[in-house]
Amino acid sequence: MHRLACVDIPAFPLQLLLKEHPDWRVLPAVVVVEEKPQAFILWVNEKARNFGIRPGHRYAAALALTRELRAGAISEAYVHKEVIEITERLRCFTPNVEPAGEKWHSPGLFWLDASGLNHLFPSLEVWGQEIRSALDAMNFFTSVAVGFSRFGSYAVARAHRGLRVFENRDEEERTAWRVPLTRLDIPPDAQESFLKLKVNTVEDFLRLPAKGLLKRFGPEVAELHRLAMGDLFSPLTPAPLRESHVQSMALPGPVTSSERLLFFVKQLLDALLEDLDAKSLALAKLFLRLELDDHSFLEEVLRPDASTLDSPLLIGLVRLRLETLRLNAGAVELLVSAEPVRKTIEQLSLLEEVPKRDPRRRNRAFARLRAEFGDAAVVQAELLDGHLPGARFQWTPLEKLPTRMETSRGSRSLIRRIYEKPMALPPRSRHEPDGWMLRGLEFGPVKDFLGPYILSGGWWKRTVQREYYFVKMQQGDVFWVFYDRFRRRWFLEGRVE
Amino acid sequence: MTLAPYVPLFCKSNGSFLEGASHPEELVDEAYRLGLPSVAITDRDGVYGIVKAHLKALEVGIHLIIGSQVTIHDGSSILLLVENHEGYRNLCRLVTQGRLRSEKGSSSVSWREVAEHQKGLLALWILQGPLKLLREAFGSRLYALATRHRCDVDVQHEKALREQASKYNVPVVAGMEVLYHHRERRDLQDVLTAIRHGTTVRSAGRLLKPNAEFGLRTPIAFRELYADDPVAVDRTLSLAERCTFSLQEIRYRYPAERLPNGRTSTEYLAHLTFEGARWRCGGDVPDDMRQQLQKELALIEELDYGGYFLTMYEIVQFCRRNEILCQGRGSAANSSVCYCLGITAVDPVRMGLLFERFLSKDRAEPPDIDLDIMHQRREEVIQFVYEKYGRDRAAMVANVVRYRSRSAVRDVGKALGLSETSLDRLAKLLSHYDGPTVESLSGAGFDPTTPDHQHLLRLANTLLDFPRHLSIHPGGFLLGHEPVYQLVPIENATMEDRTVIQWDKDDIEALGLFKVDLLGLGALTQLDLCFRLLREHRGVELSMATIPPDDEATFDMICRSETVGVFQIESRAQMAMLPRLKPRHYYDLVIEVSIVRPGPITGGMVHPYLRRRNGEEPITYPHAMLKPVLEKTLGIPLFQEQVMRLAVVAADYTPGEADQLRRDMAAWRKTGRIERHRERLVTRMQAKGIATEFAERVFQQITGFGEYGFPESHAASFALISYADAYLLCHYPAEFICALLNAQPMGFYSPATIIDDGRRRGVHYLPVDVRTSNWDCTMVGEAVRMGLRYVKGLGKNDWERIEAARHQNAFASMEDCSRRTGLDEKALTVLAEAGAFQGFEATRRSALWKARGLRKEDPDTFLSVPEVDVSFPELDPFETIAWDYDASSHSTHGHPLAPLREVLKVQRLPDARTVAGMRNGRRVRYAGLVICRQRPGTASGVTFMTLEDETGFVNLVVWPKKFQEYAVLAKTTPFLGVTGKVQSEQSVVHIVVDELWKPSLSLEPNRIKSRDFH
Repeated sequence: MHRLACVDIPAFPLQLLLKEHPDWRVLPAVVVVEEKPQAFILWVNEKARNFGIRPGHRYAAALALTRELRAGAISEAYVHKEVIEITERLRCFTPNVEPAGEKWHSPGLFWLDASGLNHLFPSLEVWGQEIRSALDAMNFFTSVAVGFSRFGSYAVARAHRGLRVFENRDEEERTAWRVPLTRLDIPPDAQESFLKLKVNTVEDFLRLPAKGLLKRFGPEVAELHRLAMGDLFSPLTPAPLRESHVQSMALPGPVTSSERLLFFVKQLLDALLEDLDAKSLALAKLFLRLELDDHSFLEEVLRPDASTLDSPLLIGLVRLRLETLRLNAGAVELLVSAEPVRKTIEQLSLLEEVPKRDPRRRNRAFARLRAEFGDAAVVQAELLDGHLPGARFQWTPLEKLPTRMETSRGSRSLIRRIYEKPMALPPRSRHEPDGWMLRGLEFGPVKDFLGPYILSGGWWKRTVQREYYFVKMQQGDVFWVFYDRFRRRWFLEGRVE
Repeated sequence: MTLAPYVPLFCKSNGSFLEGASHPEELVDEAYRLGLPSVAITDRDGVYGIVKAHLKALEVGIHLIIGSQVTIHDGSSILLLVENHEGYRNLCRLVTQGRLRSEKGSSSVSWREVAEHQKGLLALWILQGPLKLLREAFGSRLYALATRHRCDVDVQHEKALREQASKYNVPVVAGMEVLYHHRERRDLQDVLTAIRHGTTVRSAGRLLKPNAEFGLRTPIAFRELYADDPVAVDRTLSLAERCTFSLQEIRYRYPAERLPNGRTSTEYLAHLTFEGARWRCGGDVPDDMRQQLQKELALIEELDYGGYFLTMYEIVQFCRRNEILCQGRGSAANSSVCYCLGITAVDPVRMGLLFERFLSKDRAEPPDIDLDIMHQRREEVIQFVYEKYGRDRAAMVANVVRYRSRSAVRDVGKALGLSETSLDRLAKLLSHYDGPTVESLSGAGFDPTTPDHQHLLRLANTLLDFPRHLSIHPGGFLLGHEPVYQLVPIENATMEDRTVIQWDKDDIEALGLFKVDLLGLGALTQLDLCFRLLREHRGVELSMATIPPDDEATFDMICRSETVGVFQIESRAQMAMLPRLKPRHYYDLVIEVSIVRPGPITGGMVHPYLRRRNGEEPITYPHAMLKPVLEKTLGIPLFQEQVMRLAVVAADYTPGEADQLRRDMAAWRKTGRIERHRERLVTRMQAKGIATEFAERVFQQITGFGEYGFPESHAASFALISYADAYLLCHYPAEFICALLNAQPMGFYSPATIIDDGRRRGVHYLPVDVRTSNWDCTMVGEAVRMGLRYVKGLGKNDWERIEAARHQNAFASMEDCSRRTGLDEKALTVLAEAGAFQGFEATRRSALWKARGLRKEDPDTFLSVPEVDVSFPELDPFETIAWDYDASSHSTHGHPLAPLREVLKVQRLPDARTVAGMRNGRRVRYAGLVICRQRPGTASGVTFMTLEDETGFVNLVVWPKKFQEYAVLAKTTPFLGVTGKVQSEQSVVHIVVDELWKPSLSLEPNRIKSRDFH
């Protein structure tokens, strides 16, 4: 007999919020649409409810009821991520898990195939309890109903706390029909109308004509009606399993030599690429994971210039990376995995016409630089909107060189080279018989200067006050220096060429 | 040797909204402190800050230069300084042009327009713009402004500027852009910039200034900065000398009327006044009134205010001609001329009112006449003023919205990047005026030791009282004999077709300019509607003037506190006072209106007055000379005028000084100027033989009620409306309530409470019915038929469709109504829920089921299966009332507690009528619906709540400790149970609360909208 279970995590976004802020469990707390005073409240915990706060209130209005109120917004992306995680966890109990789709207004609802589990679990009660315990360990409060139909298990899970296991269909149906309509996922407008019409339970709801419901409240309500009546075929549609592209092997004794490691990597990599090729996939990123003899792990990520199935190219990158590694202990286990992408015609092309200045070769060179020196080796300057020289740009990783660089023509501009970190200069002497020797004898005394111009601010974090000068040395060098008012020191910011 | 000073020519005050970080007064004060001979205030595209700067400059004795930084189309700007009066007019004209063509808050003009308005202005060029054009236009009045702020681009910019200046032979003048008077304000300026751009200081980047070099400098520092060009610094002084214009030159004349027969305004005013006096007196004018009129007219002529009175007369005449109810309020009621012109309705001679409170020779400021107009038709009067004077000569006065504690915390916190929900929590903890404190921060869950929260505390407090944006005054007009835009720039308001000047009422008052206040008053609308109903429905002709005075039945009703809906005496506090004060005459109402005010209450005047009135305390005067002043209030000063007279009689104040005392009283919290009167008052009273104790007490009373006390004249005007309301409620309750319901929103109570109160008076109501109801409530026989305006969610356009369809034919069914009106599903649904289809459907539930399907196509018409009929249960009485409340916030079928009365009786819970008859000190349990929660500032934290049931009201007194104990219940529960002790005194009954609880009933009655903490 086909058995189906429904797992309900009531007020799922609120439970997520309280997971993020465990200290709020003892306070009135709500989930709001966005972090704004006028934002609507979506979910309310028991303590907030005791203060008269309800979903639909605005946060600012709710604050009038208690100054203790805490609020946070939970993004859809976060909910989605958690749903995936819970789905994966529930898969430990059954292979077929279906998280509720968008038409179910409340997230945190899952249907599980409960058939054929009698060899794995002593009873469905034990199975259900273990599900609850597993989710409890993830800090979720849940209710579970194990029944026979999608609607029956859903309605009961929504209305009853804890675990409910039905032995026969009649019992499930009787219980489901007594469930108050307010517990079900019905659009608020329709829900309100049903309350007014004194349609309070599922049983009352089922007395209404399907056609009349469709006309007045739309297909969503009508579909729920059909589902409850048993007129709608709604088989379980489990979430697909996530495929993994992993190859691993235990190494024959601790391996420290990069050459030997490369040999093993190549074995796994070839198998991995073959597997990807068979599925019309290509490799976008390669993950290496070494378990060392001292039980520590080493993880590396390599990015080719473009997704590929080219084993020599990848091995070349792995070689460069392995040569830079210093292992504290020998590797005892090796794992390689891939981030796959769909294979394109370009990746499959064998005959390529190579232009004189091939941008792909350039990017391949970048990939090799990254492999050898790490991701931060290839960067570009991105201009920022700050006042301090260091706040006017930042280095960002450069994936690919732009196809064409704009070059400025016309007047010759001076180049200011900025030190990564301003260099402290020796304090200025009170007696300077030979002039201000800013950088020692090598550059001679300061001959002329321009400034100061003052940069100050950042009071909200750490106040900065710098007096900048361009100083010309006797030897002709031009330095860019500043006096830091708070540190009472001179620094060299850069030089002018 | 003293170093020659300089003049800062480019200073932006906080009148450059969200840019300047100092008050104009602070800039002037600091300039004075630094020994500078002049300072210029040059706010961006306006003259917002100049009046305050002008007053401060007069006070400290420094020369003020007026100017503005004017924004140009291309995004650049130019600095214009006023040389003479013509230049000031040109500046105002130019800014007005730029403002009126731009959206609210922005402005832009073209270079050509700048050139066209050059007369009387000096221009300071800031590197951008066509120098050649400007040189031709301004000639020797053009300068190039070399600004130095120690920025990295300064050198480069100045080099370019000097090259251009040299090319066109334009002299260079030194000047910095000053954004604050002291560099300590730099943080605040950063925050203001972040607020202006809607970002945080962390991500504002180069929107913020690069350093703190935008403050006023000492002469030494300034000269050191421009050490390479002392001539440019000296030029600031010579330039300042050229700017001779002062705001004192603004001589404002009221719009000249076209007067008949070549009369002067004085002659014509005297003619109208005596004509009015004869009309008021029904023939001969008594001597005392004649003398008073002659005295007033002489003063009006001397001060040249005749035109102002004639204008007010014109407006009132327009209202009369168009049957728009209006009445002067405030100090104008002290004037017999206003009374005779029909502007006010109180005879000041009969009332013994003080004319000096209105107009005084010692006071160099024009009179202030506020006109209350029925609020539904105020717009007509405003449009009349625009039409009569033209939009050039009539503009509305601004209301400068300033930062208060809550807005300061919110905006500063946002600029610091703090969580907005946390800021809201903090803001809610703060009072309106007092800034945040360490305690309030801690209370809201902030940690005052963290730097972010310390910044919040410091900056939010500094930001208090800074202007945030310009809004529009509720009804203040500035009228001019010449275009207003030559007096002050005009700009667009948010409201369509409204323009507003750049000064607020304080600025207008400080410069001695006239303004006309046209204020909307709901009570006048209600009276007007009621008079019309009486005429149309009952054939009774009544007006404010013909309502019988001193009506016994009316005062009996007032003494019983049956005053729901009566203007000014309907609040919980007023109702509690009425049985104690027992008004029997019009003047008692004047006192009633005035006495329940924070001033007399905190001044400790209420109880002594009541004891004397009830004969429990002898009426004594501290000195015989004060008897005439205090006689009519039984020796207790209750009105502002009495305080002024008292100062005149007992402390030899001149009328002008007495008026200054009143002003200082009103502003004592802000300025503390009242202290300077203490010694003068007390010593002079002592010298006249008045006991020190009384003199001190009088002073305490003055400070206590100055800010919140009513002038007698104001109370007298209001009391007229109160009496008219009370008379109509007493004799024509149905029409009164019908009018009150049609004038909503107004007053203290919700429509539900008004309807229930009317029901207890025997007024009958008919529910809304789509077949017969109008938009407004109407009279049907002796009953009030509720209007469709009370159906929640039904719009006026829906009503117009119903009216049009009904005009053709009566509705035959719901389907017919739906088809012919084309109402959407929402409108049909709300009508069904409100019971408006009761003529067609047996139950509201079946009407609702039908309404939800009327506007929708059958989903599968090709099958043409007829829809199955569904039956729904009928509404029981409790549900009927609950549906009424849900659909229309009131019920004609009864009070929400009426169907529950039997259950409440079983629980031995009495109704309000029974509680009202209980003896003092008896313990009682009661349950009712909360209609009002109040915690007046004068009550030391005591909360007053009013509960209602089908028989009346019960007032609760909740001590602070009890309120804290039951805070959640007290604040949130609409249906509340209370256990406490009855306190009954002089027919005023309260329950002093011991416990609050939630009544245990299987049904929850509907909530009535409660008026909370106003």
